[in-house]
Amino acid sequence: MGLLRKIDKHLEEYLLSFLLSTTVILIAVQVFMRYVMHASPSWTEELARYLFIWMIYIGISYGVKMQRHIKVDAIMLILPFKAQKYLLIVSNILFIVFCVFIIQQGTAVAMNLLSFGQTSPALSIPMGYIYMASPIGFSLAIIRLVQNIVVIVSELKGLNQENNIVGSTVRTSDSR
Amino acid sequence: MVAQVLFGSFAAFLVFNVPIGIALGLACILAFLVSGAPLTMLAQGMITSVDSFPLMAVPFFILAGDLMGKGGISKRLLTVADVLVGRFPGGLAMVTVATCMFFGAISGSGPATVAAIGMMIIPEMVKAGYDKKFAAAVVAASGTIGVMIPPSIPMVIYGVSTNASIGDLFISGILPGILVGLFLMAWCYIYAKKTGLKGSEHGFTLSRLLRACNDAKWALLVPVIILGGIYGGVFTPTEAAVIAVVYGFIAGVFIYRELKITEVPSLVASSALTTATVLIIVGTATTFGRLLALEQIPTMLANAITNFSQNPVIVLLLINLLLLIVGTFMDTLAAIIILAPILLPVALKFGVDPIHFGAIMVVNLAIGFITPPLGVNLFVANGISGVSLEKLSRAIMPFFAVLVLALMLITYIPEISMGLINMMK
Repeated sequence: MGLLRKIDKHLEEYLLSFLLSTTVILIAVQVFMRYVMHASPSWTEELARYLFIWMIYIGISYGVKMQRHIKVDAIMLILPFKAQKYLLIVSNILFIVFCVFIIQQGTAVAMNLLSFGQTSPALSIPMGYIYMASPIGFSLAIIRLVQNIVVIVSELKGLNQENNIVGSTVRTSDSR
Repeated sequence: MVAQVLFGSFAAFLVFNVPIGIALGLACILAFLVSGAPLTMLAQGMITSVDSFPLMAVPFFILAGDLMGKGGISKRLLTVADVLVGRFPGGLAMVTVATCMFFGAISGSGPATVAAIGMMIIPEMVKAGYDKKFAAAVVAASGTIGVMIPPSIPMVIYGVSTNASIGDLFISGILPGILVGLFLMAWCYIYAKKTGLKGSEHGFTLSRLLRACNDAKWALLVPVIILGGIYGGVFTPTEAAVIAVVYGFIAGVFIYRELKITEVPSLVASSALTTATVLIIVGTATTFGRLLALEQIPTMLANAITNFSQNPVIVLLLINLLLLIVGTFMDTLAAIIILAPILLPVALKFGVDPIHFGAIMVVNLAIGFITPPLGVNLFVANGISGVSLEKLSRAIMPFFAVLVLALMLITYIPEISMGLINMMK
């Protein structure tokens, strides 16, 4: 149970740190090789791009967990607390619908590529593995979305029991 | 029909608080069902659109800024700014603006800068007799400069969305960023004169400046490395961003020793997280844009605007107005990803250079950071100062006006953004 909780808590965080640090190292090596060794390896950029794609789709799941996805929050500001919570449930369910669609279509694309045997130019990685990033990322995201819904529902239950509605705060999307 | 489905359902999903990227994707799915376009187009586009080396500059620039923003460097930049402008009336407010300008040259991020600098300087300003509302507003307004001065993440996104040169875009942001900074400082000066605020007693001496610059030299070198490297043809923007990460890591851990190695993994993960939440929008917006293009919406929009007015001054005014409204409700990067491909053809038709248009979009959408009631910088400044959003919204209005004035100059005087680029050619 301890291990499972650790995975639940840190899975995406660890994967993302690993993926992004590796791309940093790969590209730093590329620059180093070019200027110090006078050789331009073609595989560093390719591998870095593919790790980057995986980073994005694992990051989407982490974004759900941390509730950091970029939204238009204007409507939330004018809704009462309880209505906000109901709206969030709807929004999470719509997100799940999208996940299911992408898992289905993305897997189909990936399987197609695998059966054709298409591989990457420099490292000959089967392209299907790269396209699996989105179905796998969105599968993780579904788990996080369901976790979110469970939390919201229990909040609503608690709210009904206590019957005291406290002022609400609305998350703002983090923009850069 | 397809266009109505796309826009209508996209708007509806946004109302239901669905994340922007997912809302775009769901709208595409509905459009597929109506138009019979192949369903795999979206799944495929979500991979191919982010399979891009230039886009990788986004997490690296965020990470470089975070590594260097940890304590040490912001304090040292603040000292440099203090030596330069601290002695003038309203000096502390000007120091805030100048620090944000320096910081903008290191990081591509807005709200993070506001938080880091605001926490240091708002208490100082209150101690020196500034109205707390004004202090919070200065910090929020100065936070807009970060995205104009290179490196700038909105510029990277604009460059990738429109195939414009990211190096040129970076250069095009320098003078607008400085202009906005000077305008904000000028307003701080006027305000200080009116309310009788004084500057610090320290006079300016060259030795103080040299000491402060020496202390901050590792930070002040960053823009030289990034811009010099890109423009000297030494490396691409993405490689420059990676060099900035390595540099920031070494400076933070080994030179300033204010960054613990154990803190690094969570900074890395958080930069990956921010990137993912932006790039999911790129992933789905590409297909959204392709469906729009199939329906010839950008061309139709360009024609409709031409029919409405042939005068570039009025057309640019309308575009700016539209962007200001959108920027109030939507995240800067999301707005660029969705609108740049639609609006650029219009601008091109009226002879606006794509690089100049990029500068206009970035400056305009940066104003959205402080437009009440939804500006992100307002929320951040409210969080660190405790000034209520209502009061802050009122206090920000003069700054808003100053920024809009600067935007107009940047829009109608192309030399402000294009001058440096033309000089270098």
